[in-house]
Amino acid sequence: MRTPLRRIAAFIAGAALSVPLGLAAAETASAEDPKGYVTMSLDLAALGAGVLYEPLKMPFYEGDNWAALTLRFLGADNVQYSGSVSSSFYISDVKLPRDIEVSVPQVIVDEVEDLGDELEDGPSAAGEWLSAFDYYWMSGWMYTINSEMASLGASDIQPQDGDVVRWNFTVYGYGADLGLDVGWGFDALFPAADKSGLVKALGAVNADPGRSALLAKPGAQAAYDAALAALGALQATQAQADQAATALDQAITAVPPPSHVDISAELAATMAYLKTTVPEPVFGSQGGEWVVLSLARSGVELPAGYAAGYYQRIVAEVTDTAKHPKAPQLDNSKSTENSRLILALAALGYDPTDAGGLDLTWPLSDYSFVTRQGINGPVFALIALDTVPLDMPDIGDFNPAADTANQNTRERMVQYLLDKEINRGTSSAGGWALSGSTPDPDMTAMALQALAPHKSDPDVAAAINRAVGALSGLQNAQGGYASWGTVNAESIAQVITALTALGIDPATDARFVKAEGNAVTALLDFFVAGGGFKHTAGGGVNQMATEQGAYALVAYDRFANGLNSLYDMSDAVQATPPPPDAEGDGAITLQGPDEVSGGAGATFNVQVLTDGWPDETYQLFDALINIPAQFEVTNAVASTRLGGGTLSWNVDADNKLRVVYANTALQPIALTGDTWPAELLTISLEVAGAVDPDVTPHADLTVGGATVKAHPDVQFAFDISQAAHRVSFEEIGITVTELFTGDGVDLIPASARAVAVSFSGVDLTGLAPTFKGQGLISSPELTAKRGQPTYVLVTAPATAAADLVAVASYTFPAGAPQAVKFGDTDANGLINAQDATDSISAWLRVKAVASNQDILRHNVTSDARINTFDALAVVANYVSGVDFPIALK
Amino acid sequence: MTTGQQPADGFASGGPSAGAVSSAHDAVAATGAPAPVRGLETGSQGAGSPAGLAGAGRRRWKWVIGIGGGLAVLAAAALIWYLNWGPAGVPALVLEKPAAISAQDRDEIVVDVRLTNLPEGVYPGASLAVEFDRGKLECVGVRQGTMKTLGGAGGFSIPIWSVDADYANREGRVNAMYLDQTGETWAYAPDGFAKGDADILLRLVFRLRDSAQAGDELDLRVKDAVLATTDNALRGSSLATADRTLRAFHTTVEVAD
Repeated sequence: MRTPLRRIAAFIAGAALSVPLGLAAAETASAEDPKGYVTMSLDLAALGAGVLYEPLKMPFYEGDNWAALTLRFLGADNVQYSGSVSSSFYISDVKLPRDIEVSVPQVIVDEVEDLGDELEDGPSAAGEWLSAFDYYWMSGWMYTINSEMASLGASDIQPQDGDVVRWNFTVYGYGADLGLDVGWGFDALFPAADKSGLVKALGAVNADPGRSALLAKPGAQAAYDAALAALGALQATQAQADQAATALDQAITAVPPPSHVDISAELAATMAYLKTTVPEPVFGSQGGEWVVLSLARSGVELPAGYAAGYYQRIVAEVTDTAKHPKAPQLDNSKSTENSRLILALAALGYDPTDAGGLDLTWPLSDYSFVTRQGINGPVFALIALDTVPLDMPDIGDFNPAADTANQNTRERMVQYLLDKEINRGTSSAGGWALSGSTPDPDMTAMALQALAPHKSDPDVAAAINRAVGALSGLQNAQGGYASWGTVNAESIAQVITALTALGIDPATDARFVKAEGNAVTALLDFFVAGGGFKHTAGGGVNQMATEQGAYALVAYDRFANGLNSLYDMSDAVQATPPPPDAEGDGAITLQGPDEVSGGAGATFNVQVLTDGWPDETYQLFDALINIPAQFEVTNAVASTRLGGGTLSWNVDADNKLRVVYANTALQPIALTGDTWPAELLTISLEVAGAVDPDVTPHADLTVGGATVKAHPDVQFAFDISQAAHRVSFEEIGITVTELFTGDGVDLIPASARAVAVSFSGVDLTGLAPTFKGQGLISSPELTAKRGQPTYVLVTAPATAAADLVAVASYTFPAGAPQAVKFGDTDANGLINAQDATDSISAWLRVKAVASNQDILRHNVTSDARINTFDALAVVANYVSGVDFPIALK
Repeated sequence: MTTGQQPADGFASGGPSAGAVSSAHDAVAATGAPAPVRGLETGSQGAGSPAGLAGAGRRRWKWVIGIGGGLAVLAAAALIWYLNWGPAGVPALVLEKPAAISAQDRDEIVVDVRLTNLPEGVYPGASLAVEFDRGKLECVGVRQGTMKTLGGAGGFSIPIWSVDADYANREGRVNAMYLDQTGETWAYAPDGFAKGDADILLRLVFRLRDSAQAGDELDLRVKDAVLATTDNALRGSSLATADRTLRAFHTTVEVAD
């Protein structure tokens, strides 16, 4: 407990930092006429946490003061202050934009302990507020101008062109811990370096529109990181600060060497070709990761939503437990499936250790798994892990029961490759192959790509030299390579990628310039005008050849321009993963049961969904849904997310359902909420007459059109190309939908897989269905949504899909099944703040979540974990009526 | 009881204003303690002589003193029970009655939601569901109250509750919630409560619709309210109308000429 005297002292210190002088209020002037430029930064050197807000060079305008500039720099939402911009501005709290690691320098700890005090715990997580008095009662925010203590408050000083302002969090001595003599009875703990030059250098880089290209220059990123570290180091000397600034300046102003072979036209054409022919890359060895890698590393501008869409598809792919029951292990035998995906995600700046909550690197921790497919496994595992680079995970995290002797390491994989060198230990050693004793250009080149980052090891360097020699010897007179007797583009592409990774110029290095060409010109011989590559000289455009040719061109282009090699992705700009339910462009889909009973009167619901809603204002939504003759529409209800109107519907003589959503005053209608896909309508259907499944095995519902309109002639047509749903007829229909599978991280064990099971054709009143003897849990929400009795089964992930849809797996004894209401964590029949608080409590491990019913009540987001997203979903459901995601599956 | 307030279902109507027992007299009235015995004053004992009458008078006074003392003990016990275990000990949410508003007036109608007392505890979550006549009232939103949570500059902060006015107007029910996602750092706590100064949890804001008419008394009824703790599952420490650990008093909006 701080004494009142200390609080008074702190108050006085704070007041001294914001003495008002009644200067005119700062007004934001025209953005067209900057008066000059200043640079600002904010660091936590006194907490040992480095730079929090990196330096930025900013314009300032007539009327600006440092308070206004500070809010502009940090963002008004990230600062809490007393006073106003124009008077007595005093920062009390700054929001942490990321997690920080606090390690208060010993020089400060010693001073605190000399007073008989001790430091306290404080905020360190992203989103928390770092406030005055945190960690120590003397702490607070202060700023310097050009390394001098500011004499007035930030609202009382106007910037001058070239000024440098550094905001710091002082822990002890009101700035004495920052090396400043502040005159409060505390001498500077050490002589502070003038870091204005360093801040300016960093700020200029961050303000440069070509920042990415600047930092992609060789050594530039490392110089930037070193400069930032020097800025954030409390006791960095003047020499260290000056040296870091100079090194950064030199690195970013370095002029790249000229290109040796002009591939600009072919590169541009190939990138355009890939963007056109693969508009939506998916997980796969073609039309997938290699395309993404090529485009991302080429530096071309990606189409809007390209990266985010790919990421979302990948998350959907890897979390599909039906496809990948052992996720994050994506294949039973081939670790290259994981490695390939890691490459693509890293190239886009996404974190491969968190793809939809899955760490794709985990399976690479198992040496026996990685080497199971032979040499390709360790090759691409090394390439993948060395991209960012990524840590080798602990095999125990992947498989608690694993033999720790299988723990993989980079060293083990490197040794594996060295041991596989052809004729190793003999005078003819050199190169690699999948089998046999003749080096293969593809395999040799890929092994070199993997070993390139490890060439500082003498054994590795020696093997590399031998392999390079082998490749030189395998090259033909035109500069090309043959594999299995055929000269092909892919082999050349791999060699170019390998040589550039080793810093060898494939176009000019004497070892790779032959009588009629070099490796680069040889690759271009396979280029097809308009974009794309042939596999062999006599063929047409080939997808695999194009993808490998593409990234080989990118590898060479990067080499020629002095950028990081293709797989050295330490320069990749970190991307924020899109939310799994980001808005799309307005594509309509239908969601409903896969099977219904063919018996007359069987009922079910179908939802009409959209993945986006146009931004403009509309007054009316209409749609036409083609209803198969076997069904009769009994009702249509608008979603609670549609607002501003009421729904009218009718079924015409052709059994087409026509709906209109509008209001009588033609006021705007809207779709609220920001989760996607969003539900527009629920259509209730009934089987009109008995259907013989042998005669009519299925029926298809389709959407004939869906638009929003505004007077007089404004219209947006939703994409209906995917708006179809097939319903199969069965005597007893069983539809199984995946809800979630736990990952063992946050309260849901990895052994818990929840599926929704809907029944059609059986009256379950008074019955308690079981699956192989295990009781099913009734879900009123899913039943209402689907129009069919729906239950939740929590089963093992390995439960076969065939068993889940087999009628024979189920029994229907008399009884009352247990029921669960999603979001009702305290099972009192109500959803309110107690449930949201319980979700937080569960995540904080204050509240136990043990039973399957508890898990279902809490995991309303239907992902692998119970966490604060579930709390947010409860809030959204309570406040705005937003359906829980689990109820929409 | 403040005029116009009605207690929520499940509690005795006509009881005293929650938390506002001001005198033993009120407590007696609340508990329905028996009236003083008066039968001795009718003089029907048959003692006709002045001496007999004097003796009878002394015995009467002993009775009065004895009974009065017993009543005082009972009243004190009742007061102690009432303050600790009776309705006054149970916190209540009170929808304060707003001033009457003219049917033509489209100014905002602000309804304070006041908490009568806050027992020891930490309450990181709170929610309130209030039903209203959406045909005659429009929900505008909510405003900050005066009751503070922990955290923030100076140690306290007045939170902003979440509400969706569009949804409220569709449903005819204001669903407002405050949630401290850190679990306790920004939670409601007795330190942030002060009767009279910091006891308004939030303010509900409405506006009359054109269909409102003079003479209308538009109900605002608390459907559900809770101040949630993290250990409610273990200790039952939350305050909730559903559990009768939180009372709620409805109100009306009077529409005048």
